[in-house]
Amino acid sequence: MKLFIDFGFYIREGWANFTRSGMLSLFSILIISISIAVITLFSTVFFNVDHYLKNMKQNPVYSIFLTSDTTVKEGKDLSLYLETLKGVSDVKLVLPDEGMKKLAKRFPLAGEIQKSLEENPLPLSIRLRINTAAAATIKQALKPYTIVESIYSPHFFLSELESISSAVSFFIALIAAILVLASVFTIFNVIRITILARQNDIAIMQLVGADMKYIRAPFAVEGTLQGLSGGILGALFGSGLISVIRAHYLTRFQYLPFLSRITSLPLSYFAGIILLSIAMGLFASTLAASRIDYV
Amino acid sequence: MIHFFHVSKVYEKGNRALHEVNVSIGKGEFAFLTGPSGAGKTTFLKLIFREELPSYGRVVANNQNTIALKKHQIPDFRKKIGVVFQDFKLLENRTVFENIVFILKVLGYPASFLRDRAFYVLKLVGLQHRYNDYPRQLSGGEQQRIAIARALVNEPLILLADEPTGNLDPDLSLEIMALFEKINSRGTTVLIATHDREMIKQMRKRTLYLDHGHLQEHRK
Ligand SMILES: Nc1ncnc2c1ncn2[C@@H]1O[C@H](COP(=O)(O)OP(=O)(O)O)[C@@H](O)[C@H]1O
Ligand SMILES: [Mg+2]
Repeated sequence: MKLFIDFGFYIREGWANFTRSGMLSLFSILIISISIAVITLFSTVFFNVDHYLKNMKQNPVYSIFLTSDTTVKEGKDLSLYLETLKGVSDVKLVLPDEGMKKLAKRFPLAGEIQKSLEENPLPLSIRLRINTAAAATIKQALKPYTIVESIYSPHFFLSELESISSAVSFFIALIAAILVLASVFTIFNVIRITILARQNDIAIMQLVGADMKYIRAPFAVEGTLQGLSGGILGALFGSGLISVIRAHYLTRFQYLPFLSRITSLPLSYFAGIILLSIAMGLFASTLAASRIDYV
Repeated sequence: MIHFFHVSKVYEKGNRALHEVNVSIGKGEFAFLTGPSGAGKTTFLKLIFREELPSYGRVVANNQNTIALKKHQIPDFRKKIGVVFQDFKLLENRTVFENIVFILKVLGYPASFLRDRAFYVLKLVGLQHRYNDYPRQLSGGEQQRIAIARALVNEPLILLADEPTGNLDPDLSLEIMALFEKINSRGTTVLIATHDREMIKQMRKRTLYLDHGHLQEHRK
């Protein structure tokens, strides 16, 4: 009960400090929210790359190229059949024109070559995702179809992507650690300044015999509030930034599906990022408050 | 209750504020500490509640040697000593009521106790109607009475007052003295630093006289 009442006191006093600190609080919140926004941004990239790679591994995209004399009707029928198979998803029949457009987007030179040719040299193809576990049976099921020219699977470059991804995640972790340190340093110093600004009150409280916890805890609450508000603002700012980037830039990279389809973080990630921010505030301000000495 | 053994206090700049002071003030006593300005009265009081430590000798208050106190023991030690500071030391951005309630709070008193107790001491100094004002809205004399109310609020074993009537007119000074006597009659040891000779004459209490850091005793 006593603990509960004390806690209420810390919160009330901490809140009062927080609002009284005005510009200083805002400065601290600004630094925290910039850090958290960048961390949100990088976490989103990490999350999407990771998600994409997992999906690629589990359900890699295959291209089934059909012989050049295959009709569109035959291609459609095969697509329908494939859709009924277990472990198959996202089946799409790619007409030669579409295939060329995609190719031209990726390699402009291919477009030039096509223009100089009379006919489109590309055959019909079917793009689809195949669950790795089901791949063998599906290949078996395709054996009787003579219109299947070749099956192309992207396995060979997955391991390369994975090593890039682990380098990227190391880099992201490094940046995040630097940002966390910078935020902690900022909060620590801002709280030290507010402690200095209230030195008079602190001295009075000590001279009449106040317990240190009542003097120190409100400053810890103040820092925690900075962490909380900086965290929320930063997460909002970061995800706003991602929406803008996605809307204005990433849609251009349609041939890199994971870039154009980048998703925002799931709520649990946001909760984690805000908790991280709160922890930074609590840690830095507790450290600063613990340095208030007895007079 | 309060003992000075061979106490000297030399401040950093070499200012000698007290010199070889030996004195005891018993439990439940009422005493004055007087002397000209700069004689060392404030220093004497500061040594008792351990705002300062003696340069030589020992100060014992409430059976505790102030030099031997560990840092974390200081708050509990000071809780038993009520101090009326010469410069009041009120919290500027809190109301009169908050100044008193807040102090009770940080001394660890239960919430149920705070309001009634705060109004009780404000009534004692006759300022309950100013409870919602800020210190800067009060006159010097009123601030002084708030400082007195705060010093009394947790029923200390020792009450130290540094020029507590310095800003009060004579009538009010006598009222405040009567209040100190009342507190004293309940067992609190009271020590008042003042250079108001009239008052000392009227009160007929034990008087310690300080001059350039040397202590002499006058009993009436
Ligand atoms: N913090 C301090 N640093 C240096 N000298 C001080 C300090 N406090 C008091 N003194 C000096 O000690 C002497 C006694 O001061 P004080 O105890 O305040 O006397 P009183 O309260 O009787 O006027 C004075 O000479 C004063 O200048
Ligand atoms: Mg003085």
